[in-house]
Amino acid sequence: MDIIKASGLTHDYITYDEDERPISVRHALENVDLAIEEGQFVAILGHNGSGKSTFAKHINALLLPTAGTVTVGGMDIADEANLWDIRQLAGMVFQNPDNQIIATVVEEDVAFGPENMGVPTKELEKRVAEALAAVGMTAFAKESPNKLSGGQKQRIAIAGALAMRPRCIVFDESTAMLDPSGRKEVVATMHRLNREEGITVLLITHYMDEAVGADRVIVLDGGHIAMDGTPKQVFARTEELLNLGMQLPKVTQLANALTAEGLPLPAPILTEEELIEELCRLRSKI
Amino acid sequence: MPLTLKNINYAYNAGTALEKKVLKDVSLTFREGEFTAIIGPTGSGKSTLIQHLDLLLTATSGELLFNGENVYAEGYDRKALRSRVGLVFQYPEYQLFEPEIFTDVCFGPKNQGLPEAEVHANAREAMKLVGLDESYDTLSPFEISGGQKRRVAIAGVLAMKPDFLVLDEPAAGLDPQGKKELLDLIRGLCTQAGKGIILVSHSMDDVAEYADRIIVLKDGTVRLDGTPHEVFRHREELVQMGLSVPKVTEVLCGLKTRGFDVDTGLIGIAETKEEILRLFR
Repeated sequence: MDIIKASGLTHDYITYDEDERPISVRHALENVDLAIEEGQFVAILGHNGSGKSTFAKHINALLLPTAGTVTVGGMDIADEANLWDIRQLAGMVFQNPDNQIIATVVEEDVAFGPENMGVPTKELEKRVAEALAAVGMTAFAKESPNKLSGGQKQRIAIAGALAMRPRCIVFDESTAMLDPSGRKEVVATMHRLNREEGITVLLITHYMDEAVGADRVIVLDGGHIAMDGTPKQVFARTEELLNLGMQLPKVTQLANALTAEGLPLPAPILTEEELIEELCRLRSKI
Repeated sequence: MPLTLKNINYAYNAGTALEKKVLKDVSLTFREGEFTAIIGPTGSGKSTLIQHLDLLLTATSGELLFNGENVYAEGYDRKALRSRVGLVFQYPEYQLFEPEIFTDVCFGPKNQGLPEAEVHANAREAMKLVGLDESYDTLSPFEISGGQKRRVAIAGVLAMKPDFLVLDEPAAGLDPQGKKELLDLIRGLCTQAGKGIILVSHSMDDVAEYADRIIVLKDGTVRLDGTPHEVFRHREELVQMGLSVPKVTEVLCGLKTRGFDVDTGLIGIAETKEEILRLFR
């Protein structure tokens, strides 16, 4: 079943002059058709200004289409009556952890969303405990968020989204400000939620190696879908990717360099483990 | 003119019950024409350290020397130092505020009290250094791309003609192409314009590719200091600190674990390729 479905989605950003007359129009998304199946892990790539974040903001109705429709869990986002149901169903985690945490105690921060929806106290406590357990932060429930590392804060932000019991979470460059171990923590958390809780994950990122672990990779360019396929399919189209301002993962670059020197490696190789495995296999044949 | 930290200690809320030591006995020298990267896990003191370099923070104890002179000494012209050491914050595009790009770049030199002709000349040169020609002068800094905004922000600092440029994660949030262009530009400011570059980063692959020297901070102390090749030989130590090594180095380490005799201290694609090919000759 499709949890997100965009049909003919167009979004224009319009600039106005002092008298509120429109002076310029920029098409951030143009006639995009895209369906995302429930339970999938989808990475969205694209250069700055390609329309990634604009698309993401439609998923919980922060933006509404200029033309076309978007449904989330079968609900039309343009229908105001659906607003709260859609925001409950689709959570979002943004780039800067410091901008998403509002309470002075971790568990209160996680409780903020459901509490505002009037979830009864008993149920609320249960949800907070489960959400913190799911991101591995139970031990920090009573701590102050400002003492946590970047990766830990981002996991609290994810727990806050989880406490709403969403079926889908959009991560909009949620690892951009983290150190290597913080990034690892957050990416591992995304995968676990996808695998174990069946939550649909939409990961918007500039890190090619984060896209490698997805079920599906979509590359946007100028408000259109330029590429769409499995990581293997997408990263095999080197030239096209480079033309779109993307890069190959470092390991893929190394593997391609080795292939160019005559090593018969399968293409494309996307992870370190894969390359090591293939090299060992080749070596054992000599 | 070298910039030297000598036994710098810094504590937030010094002398109170909430005292938290962030820098502990840090001694370092930065030189012009050298590209130094500072890496370290979140909370290691990186941002605190760079804020000392242009006197946004003053050490609890220790000395900061510019060209051998103690900056903390009474009567030292601290305002002048701020022009010599230019600081570019994270997401510097949020600090652009003028309606036109050229006016924004002029803001720094204008505040230095220079005559208008010189202000304009310095701003023009700075824009040239970051690859923005006159056609950008009257554009609004808010209608250009993210990568270009960063260039404008960096030009605003370069217009004060600093000897050192200190940048806190300058490529965060840029797409691969924008990131490469910006880092190439910064490398050029070092190699061609002779600026001393001090750059804070979380990307091991980037610092391996661009830096001459890497300083590793952890818990407010300098743990490692050397060329990228020297620093990334300490894989276990780095991983323990919450850092990592470049991806290609990981591949070499994996091969080593599987019993192959390879040098695990390589960090570039070309040299790693040669090392792996050696196994097949």
